[in-house]
Amino acid sequence: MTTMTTGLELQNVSLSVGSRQLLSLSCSVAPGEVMTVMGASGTGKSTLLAFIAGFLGDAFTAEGRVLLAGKELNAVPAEKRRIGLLFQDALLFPHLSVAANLKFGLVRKVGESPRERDLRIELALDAIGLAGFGDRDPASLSGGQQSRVALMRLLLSEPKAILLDEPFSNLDMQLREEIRTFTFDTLRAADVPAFLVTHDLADAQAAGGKIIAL
Amino acid sequence: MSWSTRLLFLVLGAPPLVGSVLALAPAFSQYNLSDGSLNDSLNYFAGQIPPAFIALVSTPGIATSAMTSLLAGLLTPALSLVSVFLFLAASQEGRTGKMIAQLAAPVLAIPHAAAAFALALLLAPTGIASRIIASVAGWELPPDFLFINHPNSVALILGLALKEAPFVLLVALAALPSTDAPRRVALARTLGYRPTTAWLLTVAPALYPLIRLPLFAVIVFASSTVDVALILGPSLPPTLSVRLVEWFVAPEIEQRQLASAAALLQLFISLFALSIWLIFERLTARAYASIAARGAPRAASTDLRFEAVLTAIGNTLIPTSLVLVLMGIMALFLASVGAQWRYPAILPTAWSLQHWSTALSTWQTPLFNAIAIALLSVTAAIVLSLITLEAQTRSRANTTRLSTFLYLPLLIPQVVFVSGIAVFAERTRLSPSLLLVAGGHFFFVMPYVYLTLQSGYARLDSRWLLLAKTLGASSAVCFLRVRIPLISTQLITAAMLGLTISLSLYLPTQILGAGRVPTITTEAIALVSSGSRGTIGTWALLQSALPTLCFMLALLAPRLIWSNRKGML
Repeated sequence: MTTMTTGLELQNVSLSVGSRQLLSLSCSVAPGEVMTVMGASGTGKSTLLAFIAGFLGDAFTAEGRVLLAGKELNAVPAEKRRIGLLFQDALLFPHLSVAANLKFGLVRKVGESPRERDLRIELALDAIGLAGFGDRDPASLSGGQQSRVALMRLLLSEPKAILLDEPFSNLDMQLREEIRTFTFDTLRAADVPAFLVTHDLADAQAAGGKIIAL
Repeated sequence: MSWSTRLLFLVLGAPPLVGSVLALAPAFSQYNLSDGSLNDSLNYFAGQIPPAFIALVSTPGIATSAMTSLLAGLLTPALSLVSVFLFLAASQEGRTGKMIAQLAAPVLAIPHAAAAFALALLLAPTGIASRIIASVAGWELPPDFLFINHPNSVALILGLALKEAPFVLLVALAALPSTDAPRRVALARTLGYRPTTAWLLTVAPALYPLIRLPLFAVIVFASSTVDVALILGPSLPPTLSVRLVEWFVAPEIEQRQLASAAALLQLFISLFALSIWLIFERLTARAYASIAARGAPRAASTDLRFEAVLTAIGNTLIPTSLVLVLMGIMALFLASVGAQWRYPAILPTAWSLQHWSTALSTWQTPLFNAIAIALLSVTAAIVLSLITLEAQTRSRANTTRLSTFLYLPLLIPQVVFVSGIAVFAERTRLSPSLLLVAGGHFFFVMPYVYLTLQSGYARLDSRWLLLAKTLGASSAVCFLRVRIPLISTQLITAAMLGLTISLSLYLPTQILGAGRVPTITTEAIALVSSGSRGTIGTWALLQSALPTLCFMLALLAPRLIWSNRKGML
């Protein structure tokens, strides 16, 4: 197997609970690609994401390597992996304003002033069609707006790879289509490898990348 | 055992145990301190009884004192439990029931001593209750019947139950959601049971195990209370706990040995009350099994009458207790502003602020002490709770067993534990000081602070912290900017609960401060033998003011802080 230098790569990953094996797989995701792992519930999809992101529970045993841009991540703690995670819910911090939510993960540039940072937040809000929403209470945003803020917050933390855990399953049908298109377009433009787990074939097809069935 | 568990044991588990040993040890001394003779130490092992025990047994009325403590320890929790369960069964989580439960919550903030004073002023021969009856029945003179301090202890048990029933009610309400009560009742009703009976047969057995430990704490507290017994309990002889304290603080050293032997008896009485309670648990379980085995009722008239009686009692007890507390507070207020109040007038005939101005000229030091002690002990409890909880979440340790020794300071009679700390302080030459009192308060504040914060930790969706980590946040940032704000409501509740408890504590303040660290609570209780109705009313209200303020802050503060963050409320 050739080692990729830019993408996310799983080498002979095998996850089990006690003596029961949940899954084993090897794959690689190129930057700008959204790879989909499909499976019914209980097949270990979420466990796989927890393993890649770096917070696998004690109950599980994992083998194999996770590589990001050629570097092994297995021993790196979650907060240092630079792997972003998009959950089923938007999970905007309820105690922070919309702008403060975006700022939470914002990577500081050397020599950047607070004013410049605020400007970046304003531009980011503008990019997701929410210009002027910075001071708002996240609870006052619609479901679709919250999803967009969550995605932008993730991108501002400048992840080297992105994991999506059934990110559209809690949205109603109409919104789902819209947010799905927005998310995948944004991810492809961001040019990072993305890894989607879902049980919805429409999600997988919209992602447009390779599909692995568990 | 992880280090955090060990730390918690060291701080909460070990002191009550060591303290108890220190409190009990002098009882076994073979020095006969009253005449300086020494029992033959060899005879000790041959079974010679230490002199303190002989002295205790020959103390007049000691059996009556012990019996009173035992009765209070059993009847208070029984009365509280029965009234709370019947109330919940009869109200079925309806709207009126919820409203009454909300009214019961502030009663928790009223210090035991203030509630006891309120009851005393309400039910005294010349109290408001008697005046109201007099106006109806046309009495000219107060009744020749002493209800307060009567040897039958009815007032003591009533006073304790007035405070403990709201506590049991709130504990039960907190546990109720996990019993799936509405579905249980619905199921039983489809099988032909009436609503109140259905609740008692299907929900009560599931709810009881969840509130068992707090009930045990009520048993131990009621069997060993000092402040309430001083105010409402019998005086000839007083309860065991009151006599124990008298002996403990007496200047004669041989009284210390007597106090120590009394502490052993107190521990025994509290444990005995617990054992009797456990036997009743078994008997009730059996009775339940046989009732269940009878099968579903066919709407027989006896079942209907049974249902009606239970519902009526359930709808009466808790509301009546609230009315009593409310009227008692009115009585305190009227007494504090009444200058002349002839029997049987319901309201004072002349008014004055004399009592208030006298009280306000001496209250600064007691108030400052009370606040300083409360802030010190609560801060320590919060810091320690957060350290242990944070360590446990990070190590993902199983913490279910922890709660047992969290309750230890509450399951050992306060008098025994506190006199043990006092002995420890004497041995290590720690002189009575504000800091020592705060240290003593810590043990009684910590369990409640910890349990409140623990529920905050348990309720927080773990994805918030995972999310923060994937956004690159360090552990410190996760704690300060995610955990703390998201559990801020519980943090405020814990702080206010802790402050309320500390502000109301009498015994640790009195014993560890050796009378040199006066607080509003010790000053109020010092009035029990010497105070006039007016000064008692004033000080009891002063003593209730701060805890009530804390209670209101606990409700209001989150709303004010997060007024612009709907997701936080």
